[in-house]
Amino acid sequence: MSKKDKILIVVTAILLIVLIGGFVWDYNKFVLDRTLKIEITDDMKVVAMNKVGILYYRKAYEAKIQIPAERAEDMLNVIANNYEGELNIMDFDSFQEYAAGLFNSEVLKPSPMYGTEVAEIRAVDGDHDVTFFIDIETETDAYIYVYYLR
Amino acid sequence: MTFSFREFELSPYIFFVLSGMIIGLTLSNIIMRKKGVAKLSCFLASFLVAVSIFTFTFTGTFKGIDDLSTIGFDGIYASAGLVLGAFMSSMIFREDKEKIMSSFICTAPLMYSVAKIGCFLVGCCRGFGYDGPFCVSYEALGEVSFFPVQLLDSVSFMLLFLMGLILVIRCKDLMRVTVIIIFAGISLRFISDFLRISHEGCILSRTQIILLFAIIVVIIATGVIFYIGRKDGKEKEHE
Repeated sequence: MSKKDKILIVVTAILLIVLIGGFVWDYNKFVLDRTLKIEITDDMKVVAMNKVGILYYRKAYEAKIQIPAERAEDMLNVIANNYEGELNIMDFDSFQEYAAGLFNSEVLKPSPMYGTEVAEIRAVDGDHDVTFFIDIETETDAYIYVYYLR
Repeated sequence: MTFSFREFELSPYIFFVLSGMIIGLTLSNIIMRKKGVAKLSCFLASFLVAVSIFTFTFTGTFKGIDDLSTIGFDGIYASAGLVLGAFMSSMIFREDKEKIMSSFICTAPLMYSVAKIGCFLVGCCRGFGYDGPFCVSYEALGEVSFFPVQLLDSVSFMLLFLMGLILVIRCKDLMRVTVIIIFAGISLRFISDFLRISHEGCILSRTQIILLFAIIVVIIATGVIFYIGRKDGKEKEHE
């Protein structure tokens, strides 16, 4: 194997490291940990994420995080305490009306169980806007929807 | 004649994209070998180009590992990866730079052409709304039909590949052939973008702006390669 072959292998390895590093950097939980002021604990599960931008610099994302229904109020307090944003609590009908024109371009949309309330927190934090919706979708599960835009 | 596709249970998109890559890189290897590049160097250069394609396209377009259905190979990012991989390989094996560069650039339109069949079948990168001859409709998108721009891309890039292959086999000035193929590819893609649904409502799309930028990069890269070629030539003359 010549010296040039070895150089080429090193260049290929660097590209592979860039790619694998990108996947690790972009891992859903890591993105949320880096960009949000709430901790993703073991009883929370990132169900879906829709990210926009390159692996190393996401310009925007939507995330749907499952939490136990009994923790919904607790999480609302945590978010409200960590973000100095507007808090808006809506009943089921008000939310349906409010959501009708709001989620046109979003992929992940809250779908609250009939008769439950939905909380919304909007905040501007440094270089980005972040909006949270917390809803209860089944008897046992609540969800936090995060809409993050740099 | 019109085309109509139902929703596939298993998307054929990734099959065509990977097939295009494998066929293209294998053919590049064969061309390089025929032109006298060492076997190991051919293999390593192909591997570098493949990794470069993946790195660029995934860095640019990857949505998330949790939803594999959203994996897409953006042609522009993949092309950038291919060109950069070929450029790096040719800079490392400078004595064979024209042979390596031309072999990869020659098969790039073939890879794109095969990948576009996947787009045509699943309905991504589709054309503007159109109901004339050869229009295409997709069960998942309802009653509307579209201009078959992916098929047009596939055919035009296949013709570009055949033209490029003939030039690479017959011409001695391989660097000139490489530049011709790159400019022809960029021009074809630039023109076909006018026929896409994503182009509606804008004078120049994001893709077209990137392509214009790519032309500048190609001109600079060509200048660098010619400069290095002349420098190497002069050094050889001195020896």
